[in-house]
This record gives sequence, C-alpha cells and structure tokens, in this order.
Amino acid sequence: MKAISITLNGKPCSALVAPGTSLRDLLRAEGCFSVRFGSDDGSTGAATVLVDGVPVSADVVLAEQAEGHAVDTLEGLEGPGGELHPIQQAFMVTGALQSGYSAGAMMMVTKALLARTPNPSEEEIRDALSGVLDRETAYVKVVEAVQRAAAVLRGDAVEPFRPHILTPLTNGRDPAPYEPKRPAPGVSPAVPRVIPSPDVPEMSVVGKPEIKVDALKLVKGNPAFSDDIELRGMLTARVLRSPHAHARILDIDDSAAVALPGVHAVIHFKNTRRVVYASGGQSWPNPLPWDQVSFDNKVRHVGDRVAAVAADSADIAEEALRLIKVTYEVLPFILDERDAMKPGAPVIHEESDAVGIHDASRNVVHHILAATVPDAALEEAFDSAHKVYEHTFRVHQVQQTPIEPHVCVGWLDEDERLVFRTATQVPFHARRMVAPLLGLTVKDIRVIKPRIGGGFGAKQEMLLEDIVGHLVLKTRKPVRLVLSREEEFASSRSRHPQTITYRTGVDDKGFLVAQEMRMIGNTGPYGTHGFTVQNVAGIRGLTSYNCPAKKFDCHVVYTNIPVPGAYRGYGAPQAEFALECHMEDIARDLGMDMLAFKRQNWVKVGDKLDIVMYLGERGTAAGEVDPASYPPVMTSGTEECVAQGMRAAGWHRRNDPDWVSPPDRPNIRRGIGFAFCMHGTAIPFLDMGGCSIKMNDDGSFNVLAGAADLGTGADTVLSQIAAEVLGVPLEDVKMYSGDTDMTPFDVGAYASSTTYISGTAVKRAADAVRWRIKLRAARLLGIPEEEACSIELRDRRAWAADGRSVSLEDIALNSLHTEDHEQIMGTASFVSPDCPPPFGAQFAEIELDVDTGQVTVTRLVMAVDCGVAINPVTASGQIEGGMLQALGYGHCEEFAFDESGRMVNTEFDTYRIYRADEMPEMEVFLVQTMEDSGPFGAKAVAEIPKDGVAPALRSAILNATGVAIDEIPFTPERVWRALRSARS
Amino acid sequence: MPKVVDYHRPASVEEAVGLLAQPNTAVLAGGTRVNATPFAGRVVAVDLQSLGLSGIEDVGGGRLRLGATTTLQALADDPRLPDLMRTLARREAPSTMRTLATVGGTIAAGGWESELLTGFLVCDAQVELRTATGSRTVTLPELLGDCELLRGTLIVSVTLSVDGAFAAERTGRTPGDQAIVSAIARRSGAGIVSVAASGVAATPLLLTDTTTLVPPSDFRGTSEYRSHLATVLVARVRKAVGA
Repeated sequence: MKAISITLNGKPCSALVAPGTSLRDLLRAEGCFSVRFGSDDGSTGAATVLVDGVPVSADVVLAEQAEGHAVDTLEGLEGPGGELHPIQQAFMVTGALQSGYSAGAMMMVTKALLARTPNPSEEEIRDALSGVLDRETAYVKVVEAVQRAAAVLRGDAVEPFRPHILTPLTNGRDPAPYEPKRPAPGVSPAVPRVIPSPDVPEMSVVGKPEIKVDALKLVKGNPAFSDDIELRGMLTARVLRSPHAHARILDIDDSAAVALPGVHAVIHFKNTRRVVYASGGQSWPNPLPWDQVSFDNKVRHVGDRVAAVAADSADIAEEALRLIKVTYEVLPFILDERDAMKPGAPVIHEESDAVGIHDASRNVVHHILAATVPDAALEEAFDSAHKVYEHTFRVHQVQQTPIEPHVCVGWLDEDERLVFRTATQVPFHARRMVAPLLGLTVKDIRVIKPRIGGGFGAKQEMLLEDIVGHLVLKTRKPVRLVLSREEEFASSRSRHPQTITYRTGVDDKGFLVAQEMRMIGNTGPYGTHGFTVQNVAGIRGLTSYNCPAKKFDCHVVYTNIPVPGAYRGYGAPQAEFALECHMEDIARDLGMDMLAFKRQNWVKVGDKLDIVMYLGERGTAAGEVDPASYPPVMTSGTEECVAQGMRAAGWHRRNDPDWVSPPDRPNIRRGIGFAFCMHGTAIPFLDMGGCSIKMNDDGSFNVLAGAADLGTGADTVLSQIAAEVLGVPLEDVKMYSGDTDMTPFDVGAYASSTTYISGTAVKRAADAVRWRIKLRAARLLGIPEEEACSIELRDRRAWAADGRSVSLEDIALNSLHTEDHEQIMGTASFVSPDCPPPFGAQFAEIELDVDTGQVTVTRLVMAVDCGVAINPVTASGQIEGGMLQALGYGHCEEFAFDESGRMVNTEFDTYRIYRADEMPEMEVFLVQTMEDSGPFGAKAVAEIPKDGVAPALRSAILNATGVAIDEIPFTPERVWRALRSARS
Repeated sequence: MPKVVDYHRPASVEEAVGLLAQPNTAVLAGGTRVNATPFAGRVVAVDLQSLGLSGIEDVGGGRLRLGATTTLQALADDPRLPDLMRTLARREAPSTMRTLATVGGTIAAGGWESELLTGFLVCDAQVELRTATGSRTVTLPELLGDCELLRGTLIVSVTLSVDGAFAAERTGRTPGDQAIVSAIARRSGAGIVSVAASGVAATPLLLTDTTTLVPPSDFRGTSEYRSHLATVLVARVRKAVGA
C-alpha cells in the first residue's frame, strides 16, 4: 500500500492505495459515489471527474497518477449549505436526467466547459459531452441543460422550461392536406411540442412539466444506486465464464482456488443445487421452457456460467478464477437461427430434466401458431387476391447497454433473512424466482430495488441474484457482484435475431385480403423470454394493418449466441421493421403512394385487434374466439402524428430531384423515409400493479408502489397521478417503490405497463384515500356524510360546495390524534382487460454516399399519440431516448463473432452507440388523445419510439437510391454491396 | 486495467529511460491504453507526467514540435496546427479521454485505424526517441514498421511539417466512429503531394498506389471493401489537393 495525497473538492485528502488502484475506486472509497462504474476502459465516461480542472475518465487513471493534483467531483459542486449549483438546477429543470447514473460525469464536464467557454456553441457542448455516453436521453435535454446553465451563470434571463403548445393540423380523425410551407415551431428541440385535444380536461398536476421527484438525489450524486453501499466484511464475487460456444464440462478441479488465502467460497455444478428454472422475469408460472440451472455441466455460449468465487478482494477473486481447472469436451456450435433446425445440427439441450422444450432434438423451443381464420380460409383469401407478395427480412442481435451494469449486493439481515439490493426491473419476480434455487421460500427473502441506471429489458431477468444468494448462504457474509462491460455484452441479455417472411395478398384496390407472417426466432442457448418476445413480434407484426385473414407461424430455436431476452419493444422493433418495409415494397409495386397505401390499411378507431386474442400466454386457437370480443381501438391520433411529422420533416423534399441528388455533390443522395408505428400498452389480464397510500400528520402522503422506476420517470408520473387525485402539489407526495417487504406487488417495469397499470393502481388507491378525507372533512365542516361526495380537494384543502374549507393538515391531525382515530389510507391494485395502443409516425432523413455506402442520418422526427402525457418532459425524453436506441439498431450496432463463436466487439469503441457529438437533429411531438381506460387519459410511451427508426431509415435509403435493403443495420459495407448489386 | 504492481514517477528523462530498461515496465503517458487494456501480466508503470515533455513549439520552416506527453486535447485547442490536424486530434478520442491521451501514446499504440497517425504521416513526422544509451530520430513510417524500436525506449517528441494544403476523406458507421478507412492528402508548400490511409494495413500507411493493397478484414469491413474504399477515398483527396 502507498500513501497518496490529493486535493479532493478543495480539501486535502490522504489515502492508502494498493498498486493499480484506479482513481475511480479511490474516489468511491472516499465517499464520492457520483463517480460511477460503466466500464474499465473509460469509454462510458460515467466516472468522469476533473483533475486540475480538466475532465478525465477516472476509470483509466491510476490513483497514484493523481498524487499531488486537485480532483473535483459532483459532491463538491453544491454550495456550503447544500444549495444547488446553477448547473444542478438546470439539469433538474430541463429533464436532462433520466436514471441520473452518469449525472456526475455530465455535470463535471459542463463545469469544465463553462469555466473555459462561458457562451459555448451547441457544437462545443456536444464535443464536451462526447466522452460521456448516455443511453437514455439522446442528449437533447442535456444540451439544453448546459445551455441553460451557461445562461444563468452569465447572468442572462432564462424562460421557464415548459411545453410548447401547437395548433392541431387535423380534426383528430381525418388526414390533412400537406402544405410544405407551414412553419415549424421555433423552439428548442428539447422543448416538448404538445398538440392538445379538446377531450382532455384542464388538470393541476397531471400534464405539467413537473421536476422529477428523485431529481435531488440524482443531481447531487447521492448514494442511490445498487452499488452505492458498503457493508462491513463484504466479499467480492467474480464469475468464471465459458471460453467455448458449446462444450460439456467433464470435470472441475477447484482445489487450488479454494486453498487460495482470501477465498471464501467457490461454487459450480458439483456443489450447487440443480433446480431447473427460466431466468426471464415474468409472471407466475414462468413461461416454458425451464431449461436453466444455476451451474450446469454444460456450457452453451461463450460467456456462459462455469463457476463463481467470493473472496476478500477483486484481485483475489480473479486469481481464484484462474486457478480453477476445467476440463471441457468442446462441441460443434451454431449461431444462425436458419441453421438450427437443419439435419445434423448440434443438439443444444439434451438434458433430461429440462421442462417444456417443444423438440429438443431439432433445437425447436416452441412452435407458435396463431390465426384469425382456419388455414383453408387463409389460402382461399390468398387465392382471391389480385396480387400476392412474399418477402424475407433478417434482423440481428443488439444489446440494451444500460450504462449501469448488472449489480447485485446480498447479505443476511439481523433476522438472518436474505436481502438483495439489486439492479432489477422486476423485484417481485426476482424474489419469487430465486427462492427455490436457494432452497428458500419467498418469505425468507427481501429484494430492494434502489435507483437503477437504465434497464431497457436487460434487467427484466433474475440474472445475478441466484449466484449472490448461493455465495451469501455459503459464506454468511455480504457479497457484491458487478458485471464487467464484457460480461454485460456476452453474458447478460440482448435482442432476439429473427428471420421474418411475410406473404401478403392485396385486392385490386390495394386493400389487404390475407397476410401470413412466418418467423424463425433465435433465442440463443436458453428459452428465457423466447416465447413471449416472439409472441409480441407476431402481435405487432399482424396488428398495424387491417386484414380479414391472418396467420402467424413461428419456430423459436436454440443457438449458441449470447442469450437474447427482453429489450425495450420486445419483438415489436423486429416485426415492424419487416412489416413496414414489406408494406412499402407492395405500395411501390402497385404504383401507389406509400402513405396512401398504408393509410387505407392501417387500423383506426373502432377497428378490432383480432390477432391479439390468439397470441401471448393466454392465446387461443383460431376460431375459438368470438370476433365480437376482439378489443377495438378506442383512440388514435395517427393522422395528427402524420401531419405534424410531415411538416417537421419537410416531406415534400423527397420528391424534389435537386434535393435528392444535389448537383454540387455528385456522390451524395438524400432521402426521407416514413414508418407507421403502433405498440401495445401492457399485457391485458396479466400485468398487475399495486399501490398503498397513507396520509401523514401534515397532510402529505406516502405512496408505496411496487412499480420499478428505471430512470424513466415512473416514480414522478405515479406521484403526479396521486397528487392530482388528492389535490396537493407534487412536493406533498413522497414516493417509495420497488421493495418487496415494504410495497405492494407489481409485476415490474416492462411491456409499457407502468403508467397505465401501476398508474391506475395509484389512482384507485388515491381515490380511496380521497374518499376517507372527504368523509372526515364533512364531519369537520358539519356536512352530512351523504353529501361528502360534493366536497372537492384542491390546494391542500377540502372544499365544501358553499366555499368553506378545511386544510388537509387539520384533517390528518384530527384523524390521527383527536377523535375517532383512523389512519387514512388506501390500497388498490389493477389488471387491465385492455391494452390501448399508442400510435406514432416516424420520419428519418439521411444522406448516402453512393461510392462508399456510408449512410449519415441527419434528422429524426417522431410524433406520438400516447394519450395524455402525464409529464410531457419525461414523456418526450422517453421518445428521444428510445429513438437513440432505435437509431443504433437500424444504423450501426451489431454483435460480431469470430470463428469460435466469441463476440469480438464487447467494448463501446467497437460496439458503436451514438455519442453526443454525432447525433442527428431530433424533434418530438406529443399528440394528445383521451384514452378513457387509462389514468387521466394516458397510454404507453416507453417502447413505441423503438419501432419506427429502422424501417424509416430503409425507406429513406429507398427514396435516395431506389435500392431496398432487407437486413439491418445499414452499415457502409452492407449498403455498398446492395448498391453494387442493384447496379449490376 | 492490468495488474500494476509498482508505480514510478521519474523526475527526469534519464531516470525514466533507466526504469524502462528494466523488465516488465510500461510507459504510462495518459493511461488510456495501458490502464484500459485488460491483460494478465504484471507491470511496473513509469509515469511520464513530471518529465516536462508536454507542449507544442514552432521550430520554424513550417514545422511544429509536439512534446510526447502533449494531450490530444491540447492539439485540438492549438490554432498553430492546421484545422484538419485539430479535427483529427478531436476525432481520435472523445472528450474525457483525449484530455488524457497523448501524442506519444498515440504513436506507440500505432493503431491501424488511427486517423491522427495517418495525418502525422503526411506531415513527414520525425519521431525523437531516447534510450539509456542516447537519442535518435526516426521517421514515423520506420517506427510503425518496426515495433522493436520502442522496446525500452521513450518517445520524446514528434516534429511535423504543417505547411501547405490538406484534404481528408473517411468512411465510418457513424460520424464519430473511428473510420473504417480514411485517406489524407497534403500538398506541401513546395508542391509535393503525400497521401496516407488508415484501415488498410496493420498500421496507417503512406501510399503511392492503392492497387497493391491487401487490407485485413474485420466485421466492419472486409478486405475487398477496404480496398474499394481506399481507391475511392484516395482519389478524392488527391483531387482535392490538386494532385
């Protein structure tokens, strides 16, 4: 150990460090929890601090390198009395923070920039932010925050950050003629553009740009995340990963590792319970197959679990991993789903205790069939068609890449119950699923979900909890396990690759008469979300357009790629890429305008969502459902979305030859593309949320919700719903969520369900509380109980019809301390029979170099009908961030493998996600509709922005070059080869 | 991060090269490469921060001398460098890494897709080396072609000719992505045109002819595609500088 001295946030700091200790680890040990781990190579920038005023990634700085230097972190930014710095205020006000995991990095970069350049250009801001990756905001509101902070620090006046209200371009139902010269709104891209609906009443808290309820802890870098906890005697866990894509483990010799001083436990298949399970975080009973065990005697992908170690330090744990001797019998492997069912393909699951594999000998996990008509009727419909089109598309594997990796800390509490503080989207599922693997019951376990640094589906898994649980139970000590970035890529979860074939029949007027979707879904080596993701692909791929005869035929197959799972959008981005491309190609062949063809077929208010009834965990066979029971579309803002998007995108330019082929740039072609988007809102009859609300002495409220905020703003939205019902400002609602001991059950954060499902549960619980308040107010105001319903709650008071009022504080004091004592509280839960679809119009503008194939995305515009946006700032932030991920999906991100099946791009330099300094322009519109089934008119917003970018890019390339490319991402070589092929 | 078992911060170049003559030592300039590269070996880090090797000096004749520990951010900020070279320095690494990454580290890494190194090549880069036995200057192509030259050696500076006109072309997945292939041309004040490319060989190359290239393949670009890009991009930059 060496003693070093630095000046930390203006104060002398001395510490003993081991050789090789990073500055990041030193600062966290000194209590600077805003310095966060995203990767060891510095590429995420989440550990950015200032050294002598210069922003550096502390991941790649040795603590000893900092000796003698001044180091500043977010913890030093606030004033001496804890007052927020203008930079912190600006990040709060503009909604620049979603999870806030990289908040410290972003704000320290901002501090350095503004110290050097008080009035930076947007280009300078984006350059300064280029070292801090953000997977959540698309940087739009972060840039706005920096500009606002700069203005405040210069002493300039700043306007309140609030939505820009636009006049509708349509009557809400019918298309509007496109007028190219309509001006676009002249406000910052970060400002949400809201197109109001006359059906939506004026509200006090809902619909307002409230600051996130968790903003304070995020802008101060408080220890809010899973890894921000230190427990005495805590051990560090590491996992030995398979170097082979497919191999049998003949033996494991752990004797040397066990003997290493400082090692407390080594676990593997020879000393761990064998209990089959499925790791996908879903409702009970978990969908089949149950084809995993904590540690198996076979590995099925590079990065699969082999063993785990708990030791006194990371160094010792890693040394122990090196000492474990594993004897493998290496087996042939497959990566491509199209090879999985071929004769002679290696069998990936031959174990006898797996449950629910459709045909293990052919690697077929599921064969999903669904249809709205019997096969004979379908073929009859095809026979009657004017034209029949068949088209195959391939979509690839990408990763969610939350900047916070999977983190799980486990310990035995004072009652010797097992506690997990874990980065999960599904705390209740995780508790239920891990219990049998550990030989425990649900009541023996508590799962706490603190702040989460993004999830996007990757954390809709029970991924680490069983390993940590085994190690805690074996050592009786606290254990921490954090995945490295390489493990995040190779050993966590990703999006399913698929091969999708559409066959569609159209009549002579361009209406669909029959549509079949055949699909091979690649679930990798384990089933986990394989069934449900492909089901959603079927739903989304066969719902957007009306058609009297539909069929979905899907094989879900095993391969040896890293495990796919849930990824924001589930199967929809895959399916909608194929569907939208297929529809555009049909329109071109028919000689119809693409928009007109899609419009005459897309679903509208009153249309029935027929295929939904035949798919999913509760799906039924063709003909077994009364068509009258098909759920109808109740609200749709599609036409307004299209009109706003066309205006913003400058749609007319796509038909201007001089714009498409600029005369002064002979190798450049430009194009604008469009995709129609439709998503779901939660899973009907399955997704459930619960909430409990209690009133405090001062008339404030504690809301206890099972929902899991991943940075999306769910806690804020749920609080706004409660505040609206209870007639109080948002600050009077204190939210606590995602703790299996303390809050009611909730399925968790997935399937675009939180606002709609959990929000309705909150609203119902608040309604119950409101009724108790009214009864108490009636007594205090001398109003008969039967007239209590006439009392209104607003401005922290209960108001009688005659204008008299009593404060909520007086009501609370009366109920808790004075007479007829009562804890005013309410509990409610909600499961929906509906899944009202949000709609959207996605536009993309590109430039393409015809000599090289390079596609540059210059602009993305999306207009979304998400019903009433409970908080337009967080809702627009969701859309911006979703488009960022969708852009990567369509344009540049991909898993690449070597000849041994090993993923070769497990770091951000080569697995490319967009940085701040290379983003296209973005513009987002929120088109209101009043969805009566949702809380205060809300539908979902989180996933629909994932659906349209890839097909819109393909549409734009088609517009620019006339060449259709049926595989993503649109990387330069793929595009170049397509152009070359088209020329020849 | 590799297992750093000891750390030295020498106060002089002589002390540094003495340390580097010892086995298992690694030069620690900014740390973006050494500290970011996982490997099982154990190294003794020799930190150059106190050697005074940072700074940019105009040595006349259209030449600039860049100290080895000058950061890429300093290059990006210095108006004495041609705009293109400043842009290349900025592209080489994002903001929180280029404040650490150095000129010497970039040369020592010899990245095959480094656009900055490609720019150095067309600037007739001369690299000053120091060992325990003395100093010498080599050309950048010599250094890139023989990694043994860096064994036990300290890069002290690189001198660039920055006069004349420049042109650059690149193809990448995204605007900020490291180029799959880049081409850079310079017409010197004396009218001599030099062209270099990245992504077409194990290190960036000065080119006279693209037809003989056999680039390596990776998932971002096959050999065939990289050859094609080299042909297209070199032709463009040659045309842009009037060659």
